[in-house]
Amino acid sequence: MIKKNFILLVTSLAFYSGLYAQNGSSDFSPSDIKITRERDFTGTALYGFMNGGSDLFLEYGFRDLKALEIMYKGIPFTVEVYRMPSPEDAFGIYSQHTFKCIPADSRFYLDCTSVRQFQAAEGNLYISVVFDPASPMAKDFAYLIAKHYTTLYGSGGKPAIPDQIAGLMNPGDEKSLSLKYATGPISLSNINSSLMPLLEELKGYKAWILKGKETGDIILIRFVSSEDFSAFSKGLTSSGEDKPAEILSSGENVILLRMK
Amino acid sequence: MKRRDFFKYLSLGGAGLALNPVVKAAESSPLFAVDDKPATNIKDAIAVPRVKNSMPGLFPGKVVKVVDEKSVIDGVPSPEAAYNMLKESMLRLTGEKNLKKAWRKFVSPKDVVGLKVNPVAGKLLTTSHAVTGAVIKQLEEAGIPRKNIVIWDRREMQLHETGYTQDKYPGITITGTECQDEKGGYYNMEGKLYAEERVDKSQYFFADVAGEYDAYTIPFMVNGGKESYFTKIVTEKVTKIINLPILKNAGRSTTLCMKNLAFGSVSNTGRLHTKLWHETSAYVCAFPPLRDKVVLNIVDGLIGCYDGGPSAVPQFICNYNMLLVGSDPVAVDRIGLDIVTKKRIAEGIQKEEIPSSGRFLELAQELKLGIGDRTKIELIEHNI
Repeated sequence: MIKKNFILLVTSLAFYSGLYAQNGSSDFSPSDIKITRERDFTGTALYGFMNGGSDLFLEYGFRDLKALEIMYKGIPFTVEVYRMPSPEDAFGIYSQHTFKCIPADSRFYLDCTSVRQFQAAEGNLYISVVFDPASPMAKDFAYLIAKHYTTLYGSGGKPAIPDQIAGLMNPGDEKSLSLKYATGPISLSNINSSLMPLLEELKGYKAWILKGKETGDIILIRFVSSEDFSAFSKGLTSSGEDKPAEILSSGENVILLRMK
Repeated sequence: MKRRDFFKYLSLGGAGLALNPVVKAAESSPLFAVDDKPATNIKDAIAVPRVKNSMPGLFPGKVVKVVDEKSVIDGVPSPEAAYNMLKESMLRLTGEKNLKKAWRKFVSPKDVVGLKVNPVAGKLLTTSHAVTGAVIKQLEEAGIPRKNIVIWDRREMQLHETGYTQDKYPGITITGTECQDEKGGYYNMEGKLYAEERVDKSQYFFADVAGEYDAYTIPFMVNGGKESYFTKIVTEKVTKIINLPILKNAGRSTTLCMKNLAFGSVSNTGRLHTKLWHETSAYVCAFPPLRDKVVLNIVDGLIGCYDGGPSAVPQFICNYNMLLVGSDPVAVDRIGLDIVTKKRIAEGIQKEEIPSSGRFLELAQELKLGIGDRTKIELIEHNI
């Protein structure tokens, strides 16, 4: 029994150390990061970084950005660390950038990788690490660099996904692939624009969207007031045959919809 | 004053202006008459008589699209391919057989030629040096001295970041409106923004929505309030402008010729993105510094993007391998919008064409800046 457990322990250690070496973390040394350029943008100063692209970030309540150009082991990386008001907002802006990004949701609570970019949402941070040219080594380092900067600047916490939405997710569903969060017209219309005419005059709403595969998207909208809730519900029910969604359930200033 | 009130005012008392066919067109257009958009001073632009070079320039409604599938090699735009693509474009646009003659239809050695590039998305998605280099080479071959060429954009620092430096372009002026000193500061000894000296307060786009910016933001906006001042680069420095945008999306629309010009030429733009994006893209181009100086539009579509724009999001960057060229910025934008929309549909970003994404084209057409109706555009396609 002892021998069997020992073999299991040795095998496990070998497996995990192999994984560790594979992603390069055993060689990663933050002191080897050479920052070649460092910029900070606070609030609407984000316009100075990305002009009109800022509006989407500002809709989520963007606080500040640390934009870094670094060299690590001779490879150039562009690191952008966005500090958002809450884990939900960090997830929201992350969820706007996950198209064609292969989700892992393992190394961070939420993370994904595409050809030349690693992205993650961790606590109240959204982080992007771009590497160009792309190489397996650069990809491994990108994750480690992201880990380093989220540790340096981040806060803890996970987005609080409403039960109505979380309860509809299958155990195997990757959050990075299936879940979105919007806080206004720019972010919501990027995900599903069918409801926009009904939301045109309303402000401050929050929407969780579970992307449907065969069936339509499921959307949970939380309104700031009973007046907004009533206005939206009235608009939806009076849409007749053009009704873009069916109501699954509703509560105090909250409505759960299945999109057509 | 709301715009509909303005047009009412025009028809009642502005006899001189009312005779202007553009005003009449605008007055009767539902695009201008029915909305609750903030009032603007578009009347000031319309009131200035047009000149020979005014948009849409020499070839209204004509767009040349040249494709070379080998124009990007290992992720880098090829200078040789860009040169050939541009040459083919210019000859087909003008109908000339001689490249020098083709260029001289637009510029002369006496001109100070401004090349409006777009470096805002950084190194990954800037107007390529291959295309800018090809333009410069052909301008020189057409007799335009390097000292008369200016590479410009709104932010000088972004030009430098993306490789538009004096070292790389010797003899050519590289300049922007917003700028920093060697220590990275935005203010001079008197505490005044350097950029303030670089805007022309006599020429501005007014919109009845005020920009209010904190200390972090003002260096990137130059001023708050309801006026967006034109940069002196377009009002004083250059006599002709060649517009070099990138083939990329901006949300569900595009940021091609008109957006590149409009938002790149004026200050205090933060207030204009949300409510007046389409209006600003069209209206600012209707003011003389742009309307009468932009002679050519060359959309760099060697590398572009179909989502994530105007920023550079790597998974959406693609090789379109093409140039779109025309004197008519509205027609070029129409073709560009169609290309980007088609790509977005193919990639599953959107299901169908969204008519409202081209609203700025309709506004621009109303202002006679070019042709936005695709059925009236002559598209010449050539594959290398």
